[in-house]
Amino acid sequence: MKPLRDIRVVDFTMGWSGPLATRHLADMGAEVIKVEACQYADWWRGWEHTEETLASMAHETTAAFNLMNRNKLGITLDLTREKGRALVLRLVARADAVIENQAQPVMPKLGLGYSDLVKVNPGIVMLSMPGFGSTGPWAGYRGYGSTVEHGAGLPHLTGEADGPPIQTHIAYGDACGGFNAAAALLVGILHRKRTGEGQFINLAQVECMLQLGIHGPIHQALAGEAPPRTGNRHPVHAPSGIYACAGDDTWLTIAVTDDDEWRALAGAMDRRDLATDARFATAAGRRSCHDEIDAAISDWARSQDARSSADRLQAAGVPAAPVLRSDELGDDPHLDGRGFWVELERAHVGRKPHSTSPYLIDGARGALDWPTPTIGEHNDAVLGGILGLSDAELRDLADENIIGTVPFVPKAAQRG
Amino acid sequence: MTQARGALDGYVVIETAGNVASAYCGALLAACGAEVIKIEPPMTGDPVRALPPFAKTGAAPENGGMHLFLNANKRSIVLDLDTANGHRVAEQLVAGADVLVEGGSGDHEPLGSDSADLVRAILTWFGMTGPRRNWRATDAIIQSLSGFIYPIGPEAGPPIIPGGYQAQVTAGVTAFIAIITALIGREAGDRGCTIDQSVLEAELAYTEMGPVKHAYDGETSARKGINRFRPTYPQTLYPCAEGTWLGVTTVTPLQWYGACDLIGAPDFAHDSRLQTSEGRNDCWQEVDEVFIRHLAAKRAEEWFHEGQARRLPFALVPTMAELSALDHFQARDVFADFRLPDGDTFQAPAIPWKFAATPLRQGGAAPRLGADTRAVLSERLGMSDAGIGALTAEVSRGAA
Repeated sequence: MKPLRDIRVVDFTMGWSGPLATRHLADMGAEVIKVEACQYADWWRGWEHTEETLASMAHETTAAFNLMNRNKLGITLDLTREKGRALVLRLVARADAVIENQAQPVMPKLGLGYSDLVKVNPGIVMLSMPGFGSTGPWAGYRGYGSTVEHGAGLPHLTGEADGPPIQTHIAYGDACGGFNAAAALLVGILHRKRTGEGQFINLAQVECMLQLGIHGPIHQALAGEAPPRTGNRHPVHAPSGIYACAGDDTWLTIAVTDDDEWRALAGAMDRRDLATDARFATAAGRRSCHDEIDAAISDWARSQDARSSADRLQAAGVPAAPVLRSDELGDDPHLDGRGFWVELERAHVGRKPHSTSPYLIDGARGALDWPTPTIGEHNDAVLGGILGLSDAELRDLADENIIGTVPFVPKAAQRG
Repeated sequence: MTQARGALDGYVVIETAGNVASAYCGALLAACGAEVIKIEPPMTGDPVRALPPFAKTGAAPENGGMHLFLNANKRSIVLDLDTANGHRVAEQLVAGADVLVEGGSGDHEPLGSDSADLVRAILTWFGMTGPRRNWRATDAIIQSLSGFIYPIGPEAGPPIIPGGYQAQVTAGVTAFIAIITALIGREAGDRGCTIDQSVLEAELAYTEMGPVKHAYDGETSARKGINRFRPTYPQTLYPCAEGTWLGVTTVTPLQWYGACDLIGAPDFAHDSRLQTSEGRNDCWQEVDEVFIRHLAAKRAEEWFHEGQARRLPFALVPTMAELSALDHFQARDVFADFRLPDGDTFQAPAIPWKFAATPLRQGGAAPRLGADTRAVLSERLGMSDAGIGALTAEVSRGAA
């Protein structure tokens, strides 16, 4: 199952957001050529290379980098020199799409902006994904995944009425920008397939985050105020909460979405009195007595095991779940049952788990054909195989450090 | 000059009633130019019509804010998929469509299983297989099972549920990715396919690194307190003058020195304990105390622009009231006009992709329940007025 088998993408992205975008494409069969430089390796291999980190192969052993770049071809080219730039332009000329997530001035400065690329490939699709966008008064402002989460006002949608705004605990904007970029780039590729027309696609990661919290601005516009901040309570579901269970730091989430589920919850808690209490018969009634209901659930939950009580509640038809730590997901029975995790052997780290494509197509996930490339691993295959460079030419490029297979140690970090 | 067409111009999509995830997937397809025909049950319509907030004008099922946003630029037809005739007509519509988006609402027989070239996306909380396939869920349930919620909140707990429909919006985009992928495959000669999209697996985009890192080095997820991010620190929110909030992230040493310098605490930066994020995490109370004391001098907006001028990744954390008025968002047309039931409009953030050649439909009007039943059945199936009349009478009787 490789719907993208005849699509070639030249990938200048690094870190999380862009590589997540191109992983979607690579897993579905696109040929993704990931371009790094020994002088400028993907920053997810490590922020600073020293002789010690090189000796320990730290640049090949980070979990996040190795998870994000499987199924891609990895090459190095020093794009600051004309020879490197010319070679990458020859790849662009043979590609369907280009994607980059560098700081804004980087690509144009290298002579690799959209206006440069269309000269060698008028039908190219190019996507850029700056944090705050490339136009407007904040164009060029810098941000990480956290910065664009903050900048979209998302933290104001979470927490208590009298408490601070609350952020999440991942680089939220990176992943969100990543799958938005995959979606938009694929639309551009489909349009090119149908019409031959390429185009420039731009997305601001902060604007992708606005979509995640879309109920916020809608509420503001229609009600004249932000959605009420109600902690773990919910504008529709009642009761809604996270309750402490037996054992240390274990929690059960319950979200009752209708009256039948409420009666089922009361039954599962062995509290028929709650099920028949007229005050609790409707969601509005339960919301106005939420403290009392929370006290009853808390009393019950305190002696329960989070996982088995969630199983029992779900069997009774109540939306409930244990609050899992992300590190516990590797042996999650449901994800196992759906074949979500696959192990893949990779140089320097051995067999390690990979999450697979987050959807099945005709019952199958994207195949994991090969692991994340070591730096420059596919220089010969791509520059020789696709561009037809001879062994002698490849040797010359290596001698000139245009290509290579070891990150450079910055001068300051070299031992004098 | 003719208006440039959307990239999905010419594609026909049938969307059945469902939830925010399926409706958002359909909204992306509609924004890109596809003709999206929504099949809704009689009387109440798609469940997203019942989601708050509600416009002050109009009445149910036409005045739900999420509906007005999610269903903009779609057409609505009413068919009861639980009846033989309703299901048969839906099958005929699906037979002429390129894409079917099934939201998993109701118990109707599957649609489109005989259409060889149909791209069929089925969105459910847990997927079509697996031990939890029949579990019930909400965004909070999914975020609990994905490891997303656990680290959010006070150290002693409880973990805190993020507001809104963040998991479902995510799944809508992921399903859209799979659909466009399949349509590209069709251009290369593939037949149709069935996409099994679970909201849980979409949400794992955020947390999939957890178990992988654990396999590499035994790292476990931790909850260290509200806005106390680990490992980077500060990566947090600080209060500023007049109740405003600033997002501060310092990853590199230059950013740490720059931030301390900007707020007027340059000496603090040099404290030997604070040279790494790990060290600053250990001394978070001192770091917070110094930052909060200095940042109180100005509003967050001032710190934001001054910080960014020094290339510091600071962010103003705008309130919902401030968002649409920000000059940056105005200059970029981030907000678009969506139609209210009385014809007036409200502003909400439009789908954010900027295509140079194939512009998106941004903003727009959502259909009244069943507004397009007659037109769609006549145009697409060539049904006569009498035939449509008989069908709608049956739907009304069934709903009565």
